[in-house]
Amino acid sequence: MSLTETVSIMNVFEAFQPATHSGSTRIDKVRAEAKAALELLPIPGRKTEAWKYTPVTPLVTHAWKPAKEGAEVDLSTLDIPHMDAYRMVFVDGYFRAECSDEHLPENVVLLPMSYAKDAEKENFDSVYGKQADHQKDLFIALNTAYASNGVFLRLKKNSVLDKPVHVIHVYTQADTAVMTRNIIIAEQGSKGEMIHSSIHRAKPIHSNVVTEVRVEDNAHFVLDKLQGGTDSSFHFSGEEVFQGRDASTTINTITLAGAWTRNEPHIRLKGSNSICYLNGAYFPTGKELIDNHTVIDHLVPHCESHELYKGVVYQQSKGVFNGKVFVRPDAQKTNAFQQNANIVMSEQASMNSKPELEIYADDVKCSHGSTTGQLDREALFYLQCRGLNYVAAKQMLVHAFVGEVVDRLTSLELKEYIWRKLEEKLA
Amino acid sequence: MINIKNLHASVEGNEILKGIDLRINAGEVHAIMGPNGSGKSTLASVLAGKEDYEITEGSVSFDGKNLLDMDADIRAKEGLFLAFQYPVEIPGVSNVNFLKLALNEIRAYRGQELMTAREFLTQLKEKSALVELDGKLKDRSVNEGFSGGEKKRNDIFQMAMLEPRFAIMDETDSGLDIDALRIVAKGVNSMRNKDRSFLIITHYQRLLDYIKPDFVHVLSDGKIVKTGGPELALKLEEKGYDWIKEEVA
Ligand SMILES: Nc1ncnc2c1ncn2[C@@H]1O[C@H](COP(=O)(O)OP(=O)(O)OP(=O)(O)O)[C@@H](O)[C@H]1O
Ligand SMILES: [Mg+2]
Repeated sequence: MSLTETVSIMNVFEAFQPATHSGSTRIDKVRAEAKAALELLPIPGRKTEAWKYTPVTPLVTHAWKPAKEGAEVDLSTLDIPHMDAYRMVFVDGYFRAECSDEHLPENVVLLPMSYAKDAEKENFDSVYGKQADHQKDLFIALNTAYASNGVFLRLKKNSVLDKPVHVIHVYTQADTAVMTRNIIIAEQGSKGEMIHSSIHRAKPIHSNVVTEVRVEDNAHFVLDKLQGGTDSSFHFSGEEVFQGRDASTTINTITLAGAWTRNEPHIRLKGSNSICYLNGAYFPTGKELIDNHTVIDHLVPHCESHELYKGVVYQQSKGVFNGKVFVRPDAQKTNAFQQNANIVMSEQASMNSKPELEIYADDVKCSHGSTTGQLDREALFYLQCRGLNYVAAKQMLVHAFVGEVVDRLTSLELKEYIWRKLEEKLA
Repeated sequence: MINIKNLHASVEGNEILKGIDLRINAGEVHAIMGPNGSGKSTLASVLAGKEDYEITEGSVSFDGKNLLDMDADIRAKEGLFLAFQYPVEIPGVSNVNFLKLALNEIRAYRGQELMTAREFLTQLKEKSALVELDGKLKDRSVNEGFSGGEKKRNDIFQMAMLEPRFAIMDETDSGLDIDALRIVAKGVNSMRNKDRSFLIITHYQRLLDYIKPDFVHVLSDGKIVKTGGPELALKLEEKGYDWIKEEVA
């Protein structure tokens, strides 16, 4: 089916009309706004700069259906082996209490959004739809209009989470689209980590996760996104972060698989002396497409941003990296570093990498680098000469290349899990 | 051990090896000398299995097996080792980890039992002591940031770990200070035995003072143009290559 201007995204998502009243006036309000926006927002095509290499056609034209509740799923195959974490499980977007940990430390609130909208009303309302812009961004609008559930995490003031929260989303029903909305509030002086796994078990599936994150003054938050789709999964992931003073935020995005993946982390550094890290690794094979569109917005002085994305692009797959960094007029003494490095493994594979720095302050240090090359053949030969077979030698070099990113994760179990998944994929 | 017959090799249509005949028996040490660009490293690469070269004629048998049919890693598993003229740096690949993997792949191929972590560590200690490799270097990425001499020593250390039956050493001596040269020679000499052969490529007689070769060959313009005993190296050191070129002409 070809895309024409007359296709309304509303037709595609007709069946998704949520109950008119969510029970939350905040949700109802932004839902209505998002739907109104969807009527007007154009569907991005090849001429839209931000979507030049990433066609959205299948996402907005396929006859997606809402998922049903209650699908059977074997959880033992979803978990990260030996990972000690507070677990929260969603199947096809529905919260599964029986698979989730109930007992959390007192200074942490971890709830499905469907509970949090009442139980945490004030906090909920202060974030929901306030950071993600459902007026301008099509996929955020889509998410806001149809989001069913998600996770609400609040780290209370000065609390330290003793182990990560692990949110597992598994998608099991073909032809379904699932919109998930999360809120994370790391209050002043708190510290914590959340792993967010998206696992697709049927195809095709369209999943869309939007996370609004507020990292308050002197708080430190890490989000690890683990994306393991299928050769027919479409996954959009947007993080809208507001970050305060003396705080740090890290988002690690590891895309193991997926037919179509688009990541849009968007960090706004709103308090001085803050630092953020965006790390990403991606390994598209077959005909997969993995697109990382990052935005870091330096709004105030004395902040640092560090971005490292590395990818290995196989077969006929495509990789896209676009790194936007704004340094606003007030953001003097900004340090912004961005690095994107890629190995292209075949002639049919392609990588489009574009740094975009917009600097409006004069006393700043900004650097960016983008490299795309082939696997070092001399190194490959060296390893083979020492007795490693071709595949093992190649894997070792790939491992070494992306190791720089994966080694930035803190959890050993998580790292091992990623390496194992990668080995399985590339075998 | 290795029998090279009328070996011709080209790269991008240029013939570089123009008919090499060389037979090395078990336990022998052969040296190859020759002017820059004569094809010494090309011969080493072709024997080790680098795919950039097209073999247009000739054959190489290694203990009766067709060497040219084997992938580079199979050659290593069969017992061939190449110490590179220019060892590459491989950032992110730990020296020790990769050696462990290589060693176990080789052992599996040979039907030997895999090494235990303990055995491996013992070997590691012993062999790095043999070539006096700084302990810290073992744990770093392969050759990354190593000095020229350290890279060469690392190659010899790997040779000692992998215990090949036939080792080609391509200008292992160049870039080594006198002490390092002695250490490397000591490493090689300690590995010499009746079953193991060496092919030593060098520009300098000095190395051959430490490692006594059984034969010395001169490679010029892709062919072996002269073969002699250790005294040939002395003569080359003194007189250069011109007299041979004249003799050949
Ligand atoms: N991959 C290649 N592509 C093009 N030319 C090559 C290649 N490899 C070798 N040659 C050429 O083949 C010739 C022989 O090179 P080789 O490296 O074997 O010489 P060598 O005898 O080892 O010299 P040296 O003493 O300087 O190390 C040179 O002219 C070199 O430029
Ligand atoms: Mg050479």
